[in-house]
Amino acid sequence: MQTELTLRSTAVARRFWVLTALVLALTLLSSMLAIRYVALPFFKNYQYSAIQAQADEASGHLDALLSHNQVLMSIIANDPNLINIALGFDENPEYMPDVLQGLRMTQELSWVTFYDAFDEPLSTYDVRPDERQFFEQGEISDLLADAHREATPLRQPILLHARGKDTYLVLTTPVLHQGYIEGMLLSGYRLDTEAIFPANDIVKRTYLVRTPSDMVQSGSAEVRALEDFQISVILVPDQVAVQTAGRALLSNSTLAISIVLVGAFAIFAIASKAVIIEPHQALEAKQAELSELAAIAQRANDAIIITDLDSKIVWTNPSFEALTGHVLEDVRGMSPAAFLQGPDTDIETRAKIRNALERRQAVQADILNYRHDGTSYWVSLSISPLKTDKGQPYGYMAISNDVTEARAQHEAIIAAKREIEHQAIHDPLTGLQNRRGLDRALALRAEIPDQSTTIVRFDLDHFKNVNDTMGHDAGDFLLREVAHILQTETRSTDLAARVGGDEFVVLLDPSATSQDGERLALRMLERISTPAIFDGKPVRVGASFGVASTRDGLLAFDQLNIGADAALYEAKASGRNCAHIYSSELHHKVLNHRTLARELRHAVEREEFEPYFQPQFDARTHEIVGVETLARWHSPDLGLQMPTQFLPVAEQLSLIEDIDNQIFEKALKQIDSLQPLGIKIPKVSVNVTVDRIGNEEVYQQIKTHHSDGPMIVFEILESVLVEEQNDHFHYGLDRLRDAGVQIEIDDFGSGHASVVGLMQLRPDAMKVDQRLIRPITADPLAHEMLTHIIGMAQLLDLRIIAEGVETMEHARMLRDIGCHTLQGYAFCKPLPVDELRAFVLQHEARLSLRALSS
Amino acid sequence: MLRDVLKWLLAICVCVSVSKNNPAAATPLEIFIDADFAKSPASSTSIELGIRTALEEVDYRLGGLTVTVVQKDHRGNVKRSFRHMQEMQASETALLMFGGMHSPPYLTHRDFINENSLLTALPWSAAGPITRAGRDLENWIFRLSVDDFQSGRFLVDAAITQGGCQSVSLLLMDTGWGHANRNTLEAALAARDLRPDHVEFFPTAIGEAAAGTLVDELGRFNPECVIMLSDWRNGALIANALADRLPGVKLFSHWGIMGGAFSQNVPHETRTALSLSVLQTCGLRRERSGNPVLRAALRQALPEARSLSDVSAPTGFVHGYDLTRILISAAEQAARGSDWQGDIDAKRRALKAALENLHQPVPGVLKNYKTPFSPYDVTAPDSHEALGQTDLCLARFGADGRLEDPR
Repeated sequence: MQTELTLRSTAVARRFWVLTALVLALTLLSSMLAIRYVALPFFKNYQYSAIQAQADEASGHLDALLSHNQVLMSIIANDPNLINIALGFDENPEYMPDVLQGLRMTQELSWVTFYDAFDEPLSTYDVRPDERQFFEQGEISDLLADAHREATPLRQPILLHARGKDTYLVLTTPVLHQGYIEGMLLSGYRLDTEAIFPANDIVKRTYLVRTPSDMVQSGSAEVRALEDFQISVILVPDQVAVQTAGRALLSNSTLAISIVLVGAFAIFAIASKAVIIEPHQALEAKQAELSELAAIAQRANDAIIITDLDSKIVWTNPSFEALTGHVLEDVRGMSPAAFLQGPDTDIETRAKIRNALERRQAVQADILNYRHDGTSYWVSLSISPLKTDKGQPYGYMAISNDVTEARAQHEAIIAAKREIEHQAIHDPLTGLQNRRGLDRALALRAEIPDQSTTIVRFDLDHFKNVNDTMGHDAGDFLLREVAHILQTETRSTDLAARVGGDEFVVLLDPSATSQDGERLALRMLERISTPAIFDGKPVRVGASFGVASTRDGLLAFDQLNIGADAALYEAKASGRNCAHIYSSELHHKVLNHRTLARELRHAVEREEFEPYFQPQFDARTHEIVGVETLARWHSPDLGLQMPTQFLPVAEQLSLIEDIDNQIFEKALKQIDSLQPLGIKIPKVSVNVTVDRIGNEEVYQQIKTHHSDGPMIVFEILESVLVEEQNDHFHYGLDRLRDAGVQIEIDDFGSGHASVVGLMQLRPDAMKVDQRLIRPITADPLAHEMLTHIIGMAQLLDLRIIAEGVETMEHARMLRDIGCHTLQGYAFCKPLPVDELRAFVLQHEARLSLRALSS
Repeated sequence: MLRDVLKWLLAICVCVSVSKNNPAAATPLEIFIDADFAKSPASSTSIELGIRTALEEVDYRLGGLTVTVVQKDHRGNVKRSFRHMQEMQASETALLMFGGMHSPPYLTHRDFINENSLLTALPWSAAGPITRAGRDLENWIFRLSVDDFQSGRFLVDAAITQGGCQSVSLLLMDTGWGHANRNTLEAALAARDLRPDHVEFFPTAIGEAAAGTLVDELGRFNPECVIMLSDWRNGALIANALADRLPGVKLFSHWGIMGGAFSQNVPHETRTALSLSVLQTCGLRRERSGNPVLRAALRQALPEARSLSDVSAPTGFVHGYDLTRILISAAEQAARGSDWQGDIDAKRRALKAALENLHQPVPGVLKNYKTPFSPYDVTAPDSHEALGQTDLCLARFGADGRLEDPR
């Protein structure tokens, strides 16, 4: 018998292992096919996208480089003296080379030739004259002819020759007079293509061509025509590298999936094996278990009774005798109910047990029983029907244990809990319900659908004065008075609660409207406004009420509290001592505020804040000495937003720090991006709050900023001078100074300037408030006052920055009275970084031209 | 039959060969107008209108020969103008060339014109040296316009007597024209024991900002009157800047500002605030006195025009018209000689001789020209100037932007 069982088990095990191995092999095969036909094409697509992105970047980079050079040449082409030479009003072959010598040209520039309207060369300028020979005269003539066709072509014609790793190209810049081409500047450049477009894993080589041939366009090369110039960038992908990467992907993925599948199948096999063998073991265990059960019943602490189907006792265990005082011999054949239950046994529980037995069902109940000596006790009783193997009932087993003591303890706990609960939802001072009580009532109300809810929220006006002037006893007295008024003015179906120091909420009966709420509020207001007498003195307060109701269709149930709060806020804003209903106008206002708040949160996530830069100028030379960074919000829905439009709400939402971080980070990045174009901004100022001085994140941003970038300046509001600053502030300030940050006092003269504060803080510069700057041209007093402020600053050895410089007359006067730096619309408005780049280039060119002509 | 056909063929061949031998009969003579039609169209088109109006009166026939008018647009470029001169030099049909409002082309290439005998008539360009030929050279340039050797004195007199100014500053365009006028203006001031407070030159293409800087610089000398030589575009920028930054200053302008849309770019309030006076020849005054020649010419040129002011640049029209009438008269006189039948060089020479020795007076708009020109000699520097000091007037802009005679 045992041998047969073993043989059968071995056959089952073999079948199991063969099937498992087969499924594993099939799964591996299908995974490999899936990778070959799904993942590989996807990977190739991904690589193609990477090549395309690189082509876009390469063409963008080249376009920017050429545009930069083109802008410089346009500045020269627009020089009136050069136009005079082109028109033949003047002959000066040295002028153009002199201008170019004076300007800071890019290192790519090799040579420039200035032609008149008839393509006769007028003057030349050479950095690398040998490079002229790469272009034949015929090509130059054709290029000039091309350039003459349109004054401002969509794409500039260009001449191009590649030699080794260098590409030589010629740009045309028309010299325009009143919209007509009267001359031409041809400028030659040398581009190191390997340096500009370095080779990498996926792109072998980058070429520049004027017109891509058909062969190139139909091949695997990626071609990009530049937006502004008649030139295209061609990227040739490294096909071998692309194919090798594909094969590596296939083999690596297959290996990874194989390892995972083999592991998973091993676990599955082990688990499955257990399922097959276990039934055999379980059968043996069952027999042992049955004999143990009989022993347990004998030794159990619980009283056990076995009856037949008519509830006549067949067997009891020793614990039954100990608990009841009855012995088996006396009670065999009797029904337990007949001698265990007495006068105080619950009739319903008895009926419940009886019903269950009639239906041959199990039942569980706590029931009062009587012992043989007549004393009562509580048991937890559990009766289950006993069934044969075929499911036929043949009797009952009742198990019971004494719970008299546990029950007594349980009842004591319930009583204590009730008391705690009462305290938890009531305010001990006024006896009204507290916030928890109100929340509970609201939660109950919320469970009943289609029922409207109205609440009145109010607080006492000038309650703090009573506490401050007459003591807290008077305050408590007043609160009890208000509670009394509330109890007498509200109905029994209303619920009044004190939810804060002097804040109360009345949850009205479901039938009430917001008008009912308003009437209640006005009744209350009249009574609250009547002075109460405390300690022989009259105590007078007022109250403001906000009423909100779901019945008005403006608010959902869960927004009711917010609505009542908004209405209360309106009541306070409109002069206190009145009641306001949450109306549709107010609703509209709240929604707008909420929309702005939501948009602002999204704006922070989507990084929609952009820095704008307003240049600052040296008062004497008018050179750019720095920029002030100002925040602008480019909202896709609301358009360009100024700080006054979004800062108050951002402050409420505690978003100021996020916005400041975003602006600061972007500003540093954008100013750094100008450096490769030869534009060096010496100084970047940002406005900071006092909190940010000690901020760790700000400090880390500054530490990681590279040392050859612009100097960073923090502008702190003048109010910092009068407010007491803690050690943390001074520690933060010293740490920033050590990291090279300069400190400027912003809006000086706008508030209460403290000279002592100024001496303690020792800022590097002082920025005079624009309200002091504007009137100086018209008002001699303002002029005099500013002169004294500057005198004081000079005593403290501070640099002076004037903001809001609106006219050149202001600029002259400010220079004459000793201002060092000027900022304002007379020079330039705040600009995004692209416009700043163009402005700085043009400004530098203007300064150079002026220096040259003088 | 075949013989008839051969006869016809022979006849046609003879006709063709005869017409080839007589190009003058087949090709009309050409009159070039070398002016800036692109950027200063008002001046050039009114000059052309004046020329065509006079030519229409004689059915486009000069001394019995048909002429056509050819626009040569130099776009204010001296080099392009020079190419037109070279074209005329090579041409077998170009009889003469009218100039436009710009002086620099003729200042720069005066000697080329005279060395190559290119007959040139100037109805607008005002620079003094143009009509004064270099030593040992013939003078082929005739002018019926303001002569800056004389206008300098006129403008200075106007600023001092009419403007009542003791301090005068000069704002001059940085071209040959501007530099030449500096000398005559300073000489005119010196004659009154005065010196300009300040002289400022500006390039030909300034912007709004540069105009502001220019006026700020001028403001440091507190001028009472400013005399300005400018084209209309730069002039408009400077006039607006002057009214804005130096209120109370009086502006006397040479007529260079009349070539384009000056009055559209400078509001009437600004013109009034500057008491802006513009140098003109006295066409408007002649109109007020009911000049019959002007009435007839206007009726011919612009039948719908109510007055001379309806012509966008009346000076160009009047000068072009008067100068062409003198040319027509001279051509009639030249046609009586045999040179008129010769080649183009002979015709130019005959016409020049007739211009310098006109027998009959020519009635014009500005005056009755008895001997407008005479043979040139360094001792007679004004002999190629048809107008003199007495033909100059000052005009003011009306509220509608048209020029008015102030008296």
